[in-house]
Amino acid sequence: MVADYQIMDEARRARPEDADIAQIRARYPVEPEIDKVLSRKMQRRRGGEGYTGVTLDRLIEGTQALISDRLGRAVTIADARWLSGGASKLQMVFELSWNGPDGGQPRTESLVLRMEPAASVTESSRMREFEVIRAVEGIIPAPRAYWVDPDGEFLPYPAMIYAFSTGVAKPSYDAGKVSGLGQNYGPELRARLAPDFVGLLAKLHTMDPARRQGMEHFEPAEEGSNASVIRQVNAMRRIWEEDRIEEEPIMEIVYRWLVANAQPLDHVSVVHGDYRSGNFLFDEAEGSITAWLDWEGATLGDRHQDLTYAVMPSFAHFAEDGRTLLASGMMSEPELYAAYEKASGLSVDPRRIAYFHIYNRYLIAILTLAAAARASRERGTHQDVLVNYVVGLGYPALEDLRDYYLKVTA
Amino acid sequence: MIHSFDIQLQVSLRALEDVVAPALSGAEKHVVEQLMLSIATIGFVKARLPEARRFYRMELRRCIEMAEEAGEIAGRPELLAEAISEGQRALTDPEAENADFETASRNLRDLVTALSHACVGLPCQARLEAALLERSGALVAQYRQWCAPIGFELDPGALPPAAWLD
Repeated sequence: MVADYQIMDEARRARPEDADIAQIRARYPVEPEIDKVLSRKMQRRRGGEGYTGVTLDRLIEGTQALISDRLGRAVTIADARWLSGGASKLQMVFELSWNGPDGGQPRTESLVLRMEPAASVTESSRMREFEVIRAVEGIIPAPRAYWVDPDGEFLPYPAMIYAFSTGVAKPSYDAGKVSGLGQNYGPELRARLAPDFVGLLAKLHTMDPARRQGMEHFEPAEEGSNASVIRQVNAMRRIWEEDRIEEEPIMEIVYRWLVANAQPLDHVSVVHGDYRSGNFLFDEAEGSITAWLDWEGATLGDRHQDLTYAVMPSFAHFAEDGRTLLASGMMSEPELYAAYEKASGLSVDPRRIAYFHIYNRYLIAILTLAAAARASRERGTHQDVLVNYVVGLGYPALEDLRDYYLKVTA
Repeated sequence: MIHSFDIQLQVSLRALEDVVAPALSGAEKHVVEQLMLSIATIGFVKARLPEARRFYRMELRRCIEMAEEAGEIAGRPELLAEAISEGQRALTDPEAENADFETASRNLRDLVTALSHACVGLPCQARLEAALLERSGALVAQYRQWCAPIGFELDPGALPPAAWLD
C-alpha cells in the first residue's frame, strides 16, 4: 500500500536518485520552467554540499563579468555592500557608472544583485522573475530589471540585476501597538497607501495581454480551463513530496480537494503571488507605493489568488477599535474586495475566494513545514537560523488550513 | 557528572546575550538578526529539552490511536498492525530512545496517509478523512503548544494544555 503511494523515504528524499526525480515529475506535472527549477533543487541536494558562504569579492567579480558580457565591454562596479531583508535570497547593492540601457548620458546608478542560495524557502526561477518585472514596467512600480544570469554562468548561483528602488518598507515612526502579526502603517499612512495597494492590484490583473509576450518562461493560461490552477496545485504538492520532513494526513486530503475543486478561469491575469504588506516600498511623505518587490512567485492565473493572499491572517492586524481586522494593514476584507471590484471592473467571486483561501493556506503550510524545514536541515542557505525559525510558523499555518478547510467543506 | 545540558545552554545564552550582543550593536543588520535568532533558538531548546522524551511518547501514543481508528474505518486493520505493534513495543521498552519514538510515529503517519489515498472513491473515504482531520487537528494543537516558546503564537494561553505533561 505504501509502496503504491510513497515515492521515496527520508533517506532518498535527502539524497534523491534520478528515478525518484523522474517519478515525482511524472506524478505531479507542472510548468516546464517550474519543473526545471525543482529538478535542479533535487539534483543539487543529491550532492549534499549545502550552501558555501560567498564573499562580497566573489559577487563583485561575477557581477562585473555578467554586466560586461551583456554590455560587450568591461565594467567596474563600486561601493558594493550587503543588502539585508528577505528570507530567501542574497542581495548586494552596488554602484555602476554607465550610459544607461539606451546609451544616454554617462551616469552612476545604484543597482541590486539578487542571487538565490543553494536551497530556498521559495525555490523559483530568476528568468521568470526577470520577465514579469519587464512585463509590468510602466504599469506597476517595480525595480527596473536589467540583466539575468539564469543558470549561474557568471555567479555561483542563478541571479539577476535590477535598479535600486527608493522608498521604505516600514514607517519611520512607531505606529502603536496593535494585535496581529501584520505590518501596522497607522491610520493616516494607511488611508493614503490603501488606494495604491488596491489600485495597483487591479492594474496588474487587468494588464493588456499583449504585454505578456516577453513572458516566455510562463506557460499560458486559458479562460474556461482549470489546467493552470491544477498545475500550480501540483507544484505545491511536488514541493511537499520533495521537501517534507514527515507526512501529514491533512495535506493529502486538502491536495485532493484542491484538484477536484479547481475552478476554470473566467479571466487570465498576471498574478503577483506574494501581494501583501511588507512586500512593497513606499514614499512616506507622499504616501504612495514606489516599488512592488518579490515577483518570484508570479504566474498566469486567477486574480482571486492574490486577493486571498493579501487578506491572510498572517499579514493582518486589528485596527485601533480592536475589532476590525485590517487585511495587509489596509482595510477590512469586504472593503478590499469592494474597492478592487470598483477599480478593476472584475467581479470577486465568493466561490473562488473560498477556494483560494484554502489554496494559499496550503501554500504557506508547505513553504514552512516542508521547504523551509528542508532548506535549513540541508544547510542550504546563507541564513539557516532564520529559515529554520520560520518553520515555527508552520503549525499555526497547518491548523489554520485545517480549520478553513473544515469550514468550507462543512 | 555535573556537566548538565541545561547549564551548558544557560552559560552559552548568557555569553551571547550579555557579551556578544552588546559588542555587535554596530554590526550589519543581518549579523545582529542571526545572533538574536540563535539566542531564541537556543532558548527554545533549553525550555523543551527536559520534556522531549515525554513529548515524543505522547506523539507516538496519539499516532497509534489514529492508526487504529483509521484501520478500523477502512476495514483493513491488518495493513497497520505491524507498525502499531512496533510503536507499542517502543513505548514499553525502557531502553527506547527519542529517535525510536519519532521513527515509529513517522512510519504510522506514512501508513495512515497512504491508507487515506487508497480509500479514495470507496464508501469509507468520507468517514476516514473526517477521523484523520479530527485526530490530526488535536495533534497539531499540541505541536503549537510545543513550539509556543518560539514566539509565533498570538495568544499562547488559548492553546490546549501540554498533553505530554499529563
